[in-house]
Amino acid sequence: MTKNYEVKPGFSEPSQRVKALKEAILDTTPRIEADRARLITQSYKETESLPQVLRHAKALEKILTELPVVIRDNELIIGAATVDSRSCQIFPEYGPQGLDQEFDTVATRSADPFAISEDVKKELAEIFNYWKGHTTSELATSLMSEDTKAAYNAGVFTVGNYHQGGVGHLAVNYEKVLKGGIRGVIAEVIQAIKNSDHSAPDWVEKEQYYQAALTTLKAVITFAHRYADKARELAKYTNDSTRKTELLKIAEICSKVPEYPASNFYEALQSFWFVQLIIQIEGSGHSISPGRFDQYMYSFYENDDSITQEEAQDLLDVLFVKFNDLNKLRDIGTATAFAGYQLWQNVNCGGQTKDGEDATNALSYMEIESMAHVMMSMPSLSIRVWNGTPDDFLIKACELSRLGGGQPAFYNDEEIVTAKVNRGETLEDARNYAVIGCVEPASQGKENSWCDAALFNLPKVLEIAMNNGRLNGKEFGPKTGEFEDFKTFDDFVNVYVKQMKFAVGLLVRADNAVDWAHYELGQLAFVSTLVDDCISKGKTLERGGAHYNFTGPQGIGSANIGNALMAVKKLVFDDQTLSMKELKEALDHNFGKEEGIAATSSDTAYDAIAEAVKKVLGENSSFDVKNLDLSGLSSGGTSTAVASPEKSKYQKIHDLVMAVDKYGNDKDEVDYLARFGSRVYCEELEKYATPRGGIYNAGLYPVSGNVLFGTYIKATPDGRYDKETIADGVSPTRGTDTLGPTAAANSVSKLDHFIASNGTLYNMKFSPSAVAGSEGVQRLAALIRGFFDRKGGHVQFNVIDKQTLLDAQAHPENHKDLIVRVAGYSAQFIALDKTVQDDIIARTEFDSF
Amino acid sequence: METIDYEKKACVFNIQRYSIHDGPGIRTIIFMKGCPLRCKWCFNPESQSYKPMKDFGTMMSVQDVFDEIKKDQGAYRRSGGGITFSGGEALTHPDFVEEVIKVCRMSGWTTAVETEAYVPEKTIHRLVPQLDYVLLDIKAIPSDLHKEGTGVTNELILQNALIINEIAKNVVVRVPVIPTFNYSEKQINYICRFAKHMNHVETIHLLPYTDFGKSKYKMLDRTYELEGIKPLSADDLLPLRELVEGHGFKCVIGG
Repeated sequence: MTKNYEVKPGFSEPSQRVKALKEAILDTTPRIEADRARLITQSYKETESLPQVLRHAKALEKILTELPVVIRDNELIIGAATVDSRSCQIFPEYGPQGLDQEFDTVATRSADPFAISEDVKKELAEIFNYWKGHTTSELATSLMSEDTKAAYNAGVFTVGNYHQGGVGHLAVNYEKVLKGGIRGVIAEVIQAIKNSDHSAPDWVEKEQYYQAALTTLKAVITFAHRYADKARELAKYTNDSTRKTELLKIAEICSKVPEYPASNFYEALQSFWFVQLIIQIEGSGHSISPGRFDQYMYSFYENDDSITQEEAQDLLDVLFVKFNDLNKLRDIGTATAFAGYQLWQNVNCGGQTKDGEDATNALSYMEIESMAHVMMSMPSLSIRVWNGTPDDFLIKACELSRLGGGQPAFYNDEEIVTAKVNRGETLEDARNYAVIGCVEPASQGKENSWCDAALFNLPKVLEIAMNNGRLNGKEFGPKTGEFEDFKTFDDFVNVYVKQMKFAVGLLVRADNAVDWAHYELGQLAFVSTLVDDCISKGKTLERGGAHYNFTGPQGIGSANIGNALMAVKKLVFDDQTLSMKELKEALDHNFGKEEGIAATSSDTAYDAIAEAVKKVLGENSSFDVKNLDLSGLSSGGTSTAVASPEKSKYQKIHDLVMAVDKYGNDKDEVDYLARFGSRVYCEELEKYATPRGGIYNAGLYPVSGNVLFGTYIKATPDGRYDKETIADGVSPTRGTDTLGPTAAANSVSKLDHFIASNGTLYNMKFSPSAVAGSEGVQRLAALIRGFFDRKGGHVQFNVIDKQTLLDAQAHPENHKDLIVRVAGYSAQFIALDKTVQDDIIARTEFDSF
Repeated sequence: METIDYEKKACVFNIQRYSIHDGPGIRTIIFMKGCPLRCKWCFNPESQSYKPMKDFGTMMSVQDVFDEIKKDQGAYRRSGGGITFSGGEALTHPDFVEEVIKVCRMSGWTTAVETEAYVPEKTIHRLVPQLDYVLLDIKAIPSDLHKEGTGVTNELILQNALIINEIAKNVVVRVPVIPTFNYSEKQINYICRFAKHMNHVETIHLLPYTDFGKSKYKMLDRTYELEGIKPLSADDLLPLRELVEGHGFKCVIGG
């Protein structure tokens, strides 16, 4: 029987239990624990003669058998990676991830600090010593060519994510475990062994994998049974009769799942969590995304007569809090860029079924409710929208947006499904895409999309094109002529394309080196059993076992490319206001701004990241810090005028450049240049194959790399100053879209989202008052529908808080696109008189509740 | 298919996209230049003259306007929105407005006008039935007070208001609430009592006075007569809202 869900406006209060669980996590100081690192190292010392896949499987077996078993107060869904909540284990097999340099500072750093005891420091130092020379990161480095490293170090791209850590980025087939139990997966492996030709040349490799898979699967059952024992033991010693009942129930459930199929909603949630947890104990890769949770969980809710909607909601809330029990250590640069202890466990809801019917069900709505109840940094929620999505569902999701946490994000099935089919997926598999990590769509349980393979700096390539192929003054790309000598706009465009081909070629070599390192040293047996066709092929994910394989690097700075090309076209070639020489000279003089100071760098996040970048670069000997003067970055806006007559000349050129049409205002010419500039990148990438047997699949989204990448680039013809941040995702350059949200969204929709099939990301900002009332959320829903009609891929809303409005008052140049509701109309915030602004700020405080 | 004169021109001083408080859904406002009134509180004084001046106002053809407003057609379609004519006084450009209404009708977009109705009765008869929403400004009932604040008496306006009540598909009354002018229970009471004669009016919007047009007067070398008067907040209007509701109307502050 279908379970109905009655949609009501607004959100209810979470239970006391949920509040207590949440508080317990937020009150804990995250800590670094050494158990996993110790256990894997002990195991590796005992297995030196075995192949890597078996060594790692045996290590996981040891970890799951000996890792401390912890059930926290009030918990109903149990299973933890660490003794303290929100703490982290260490994965020495990938490399120290900067920790060996940070032992004494990691507890006090500003971004994502972790406490660490002296004993743990000492132990980990010895462990890192054992691993020296045997990690995936060192192997990957050794496989990279010199010119690849030069491009990497100069910020043309970074492949740091999988170079320094695990890959992750999967939405596995959880349903297989929920419905068939781990025993079902074991049976599948045994069947595959029977089906194999043991005299075939590939059997040796296959057999290693099957043995490894069976070892880990059995260890998963052991792990759950240890929790059952622990719960029984705790039940014995508690005087609280309610808690005793709960613990005995937990014991009963853990004796059953994930070993056997789940038979009700509670069991299914617990079974799910064991899988989710163990994947993140096995490898260090983040973005382990539950994906289409409302789809594979629904039958367990639908057929469960023992549970009310309120009870089910409470259990779901409890699970959503539990996602925050996990944590991961990153080096300070990465942590500063992605602050907030984020693992990108992305939960989806809505969209279409494999058959193309609407997939929205009661659990889809309940996921939104849980997000409102929990309001923590994880999970991320992705709303899949297609033309058949019920309006009330979309509006409910918009109500969540209005709460201001930046959640959920909205995805366009009408674009993404087509894009996936274009990459060779069947229609059914494409319809079954799950959003992983930030914005990346991957067919659930079938795809190893390697979707955060790199960040690629599009404007840096433009800079190389403007410098005859030189990279920061050194010979690098093909010699394509000096900027001053280009006779036509097409000359310039063609050179950009040529340099792009060259730089993309190097990016692919870097990614393939990292890929090979994981092929050699990073095979993970357990998680590979949960993605088709690893078992039938007898290959791990790392060796190409998945049904679909891709490598997905992200281009950043589409807006800068569009605006730069437009400025050159208009000022130099169309109107002939400037010569190439004059423009080049102005760029070389940073448009007359004192060196190193970014005009729009005044927000604190930017300063913090710049500081962190400086520190990281200082610690890595392969970067030449002297060439990268970041001294001005943290002093945003304190530029002092240089009293030379040239100064005003270059500033005038800057004024001319800024007056040229900018991407984000629904002006076709510049919007299509942005489309062209980013398309060149995507088209070039898709020509390459990955070592795992797939193709390259470009995305256009930034994570937070846009700030970092800006520091590598001198002034650009779009009016961007030296080292200033570049545009995020497919969003317009901050402050240059001035005609409101519909105009900006139209511009964004003119990019080719289909070819950027690894995902695009568009951020929109609103004040709370602009989305107030039922009309406010309806308008938000209409904006999404309108943007998706034009085949935009993704949008998320930033409902602005008071702090931002204050910042907009202080630094109006950064907030030109901020639309607020005034009285009988809406207006651009910075255009308002200060008293009106003050009034809105005062109102906003109320609105944001 | 009705014929549309795409070449017809008028002076437009702004086209503002994503307007969300002047009629239903997501709308684009076409601000027509030129107004017969001279309200002391006018926050768009540059829109009062019918001629383009300095940077304010461009002669645009119906085609030019169509090219601009169609950019948000997806948003209109998805939100039930469309086009709102404002000003200045849009209805003093009846020929031009009628052609743009035809364009909107052809495209399936709703149309609204924000008007003070100080136009010939025949213009009301000609255009109002073609519009989906009328947002009708009523500023004061005593004619001498009206003349004092706006430069014109209000007999024509009130007479047109009653006609609009009869022939408009939807009509909302809007009252700019201005200290020293109509910011009193007495004046708002008068307006409510008049509005009760308009049996199709269900909703009254109270728009609190703001002074953010002030700086523009300086730019135009004109004196701002309301200098020193503090803007009203939404809270200031709460007692008046109660009063309006007491007359049986729905009342929205800000509108």
